[in-house]
Amino acid sequence: MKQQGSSQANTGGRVQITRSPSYINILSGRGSIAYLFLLPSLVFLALFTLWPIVSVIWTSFHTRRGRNEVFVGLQNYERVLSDPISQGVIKNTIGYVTIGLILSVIGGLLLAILMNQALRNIGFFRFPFLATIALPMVSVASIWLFLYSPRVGLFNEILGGLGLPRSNWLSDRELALPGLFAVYMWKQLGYFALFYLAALQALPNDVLEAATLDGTSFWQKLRHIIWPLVSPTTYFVATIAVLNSLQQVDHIFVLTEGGPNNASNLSLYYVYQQGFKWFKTGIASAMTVFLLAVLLTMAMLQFVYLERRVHYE
Amino acid sequence: MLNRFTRFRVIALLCAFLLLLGGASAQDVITLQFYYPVGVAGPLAQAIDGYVAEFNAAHDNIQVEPIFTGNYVENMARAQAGILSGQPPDVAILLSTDLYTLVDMGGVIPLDDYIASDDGLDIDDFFDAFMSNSVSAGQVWGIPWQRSTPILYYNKDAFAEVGLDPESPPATWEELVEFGKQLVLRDGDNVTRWGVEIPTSFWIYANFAIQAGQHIGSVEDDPCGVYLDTPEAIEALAFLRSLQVEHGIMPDGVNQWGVAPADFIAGATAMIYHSTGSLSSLLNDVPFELGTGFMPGGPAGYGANVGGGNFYIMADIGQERQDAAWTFINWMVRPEQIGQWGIDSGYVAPRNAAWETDPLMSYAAEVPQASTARMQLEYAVKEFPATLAGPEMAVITTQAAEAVYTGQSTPEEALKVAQERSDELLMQAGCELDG
Repeated sequence: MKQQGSSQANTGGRVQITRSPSYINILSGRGSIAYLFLLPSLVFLALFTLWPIVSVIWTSFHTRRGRNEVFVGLQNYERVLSDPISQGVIKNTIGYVTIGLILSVIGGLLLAILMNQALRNIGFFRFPFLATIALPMVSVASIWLFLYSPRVGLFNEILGGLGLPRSNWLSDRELALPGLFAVYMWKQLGYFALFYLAALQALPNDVLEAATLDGTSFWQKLRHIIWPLVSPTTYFVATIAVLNSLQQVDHIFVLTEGGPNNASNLSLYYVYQQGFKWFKTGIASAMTVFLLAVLLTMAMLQFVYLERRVHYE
Repeated sequence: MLNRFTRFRVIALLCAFLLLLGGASAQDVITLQFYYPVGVAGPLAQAIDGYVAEFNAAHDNIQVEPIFTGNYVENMARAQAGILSGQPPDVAILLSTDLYTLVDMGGVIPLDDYIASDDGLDIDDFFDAFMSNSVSAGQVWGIPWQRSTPILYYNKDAFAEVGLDPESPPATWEELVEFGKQLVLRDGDNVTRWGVEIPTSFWIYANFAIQAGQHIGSVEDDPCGVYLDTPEAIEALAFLRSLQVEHGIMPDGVNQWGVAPADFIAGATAMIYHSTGSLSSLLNDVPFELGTGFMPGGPAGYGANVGGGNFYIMADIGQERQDAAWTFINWMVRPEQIGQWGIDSGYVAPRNAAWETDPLMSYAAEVPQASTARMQLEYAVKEFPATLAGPEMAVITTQAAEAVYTGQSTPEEALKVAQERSDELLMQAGCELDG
């Protein structure tokens, strides 16, 4: 019933547009009124998106000497690629984003399935996972700073209480980046699960019931019914997961400042360090252009892939 | 709040009155933008806003607008962005070590003419160690304001508990180790109280190198002097590492700047090295008798490097505004005013006269801990890294210490890498280095 209603509304809309072109033509020549309506958004898009992109590309070919910008060709790009620190940053970022992507999709879906159980008071169980979405990252990180604190922190108190060796979480080269990642995941997993929860609740019950009657196991249902049916959500979650993990930087400020010795430095924090702490705008811009290229490529790929593969109802 | 509002109304009325009188007496009011950072704990922004309000009330033709700009790094970034875009603040508190970067950009002006003018300042009254970071090429560029050195803080109760004299903190590296070992408390394998906790920071490490006999930065007026791979610098870092591994009196790994005071207050460590700027908040917060002492001396005796922020006046704002900015600075560093600031913040009041004037004179008599840092100044030298590209140099040095503390590198390796990176950085900034 619902679907019928919405398709009628669509037709209604289309009919309206074809019926009243004369109305638009009174005001102006053909189509120019459309540009007039677009103008405000175009101005803002040009000013705050297109111009910064042009500007960052220009800056990436220059370096600052005193108050002047000097053209240096590809030197900034060479430095970003050859410097061991920026190499480390790129490696960290790739690992962080990849693991983030995998865990967001798998963890998000499993958490959503748990939250989708027909239990009494399921809201009570859903709440803590969804509440983290509403918290600002800086507050979250500040709380975790205490949890991680080497001598008075909760984690070490627990380990100590169990007679296990304590750990200097954020000051350990191996643990600092996973430590940041844990904070990020703790905060964001509920967000991804929320999308899956919505997708699960929109699944056609008859298919699942039929499968249950046929005696399929939970894994079979997950693999052959749920997973294909939620694939549009999966693509959406994957995109958001990659963007989020590249954009979240607040917890690095609060928890490690990229340390120890750059072990937990990620691309966006590196850009901040180079550009705003040390005023190396050239290096910062070159790194930004890399990021931009990766994101644009990904967006294109996803767009193409999405068009072809994703199963929409 | 009400007070300030009332003051504002009084000023407004006064201005209106002057305007009514008309003519030459009603000069235009100059409004100065004043950037300042807060680098240590405590309600310091409130204190500074209060001083500025008093200044504004006492001056009809100058109004200062205080703008809190975050920590030192953010503050410097904003000032630099302002200078580069042609819209600098008029007067700012910036790190004394930013001097060369600011002069290199042509962002600040020398103050010698003002110092020698009718509305002058007795610059010789300021402590030499603080002035060493304020002078370049024979000219004074900054007036010391929020200046500090690290000192040793110790828990007198813990000293008494293990049979140490609470009135004599360790005076040498050997005593630091010896006392530290006595102060450590263990519960099975876990340490419940450490002997000492020294934050992993270039600014603290630099003192150990001085105590070993070689400053890692230049003590002269040299924007290119960095000496990280010298034997003394390596010895200093090796000593610090030995406190963790060989002697087991300091927590292993990186020790964060903000964690040390928290651990100290909680009794998880018996001694810490920290800025004298933390004195006021520690005095308030520790539940035990607080002791302060010089940082213990190394092979070359006592040694410290100074730190903190100076007042600067910006270039490109016009003579009239620069004159007004000088009036403001000169008012702020009056002995009684800067002495009050020392009490409010814990920073070392940077001039002799402040210590011989109330309120600081009577405060120092009451709170003996307040004088430790000033007495240590006798052994203090120029702050590291007073070079070009200072902020990045600081991070490079801290990262070398981090690499050693996490067991990633030996002191030799880490400092060799740091020296190479800093040489490269200095050459990019325009230094000509040998070899």
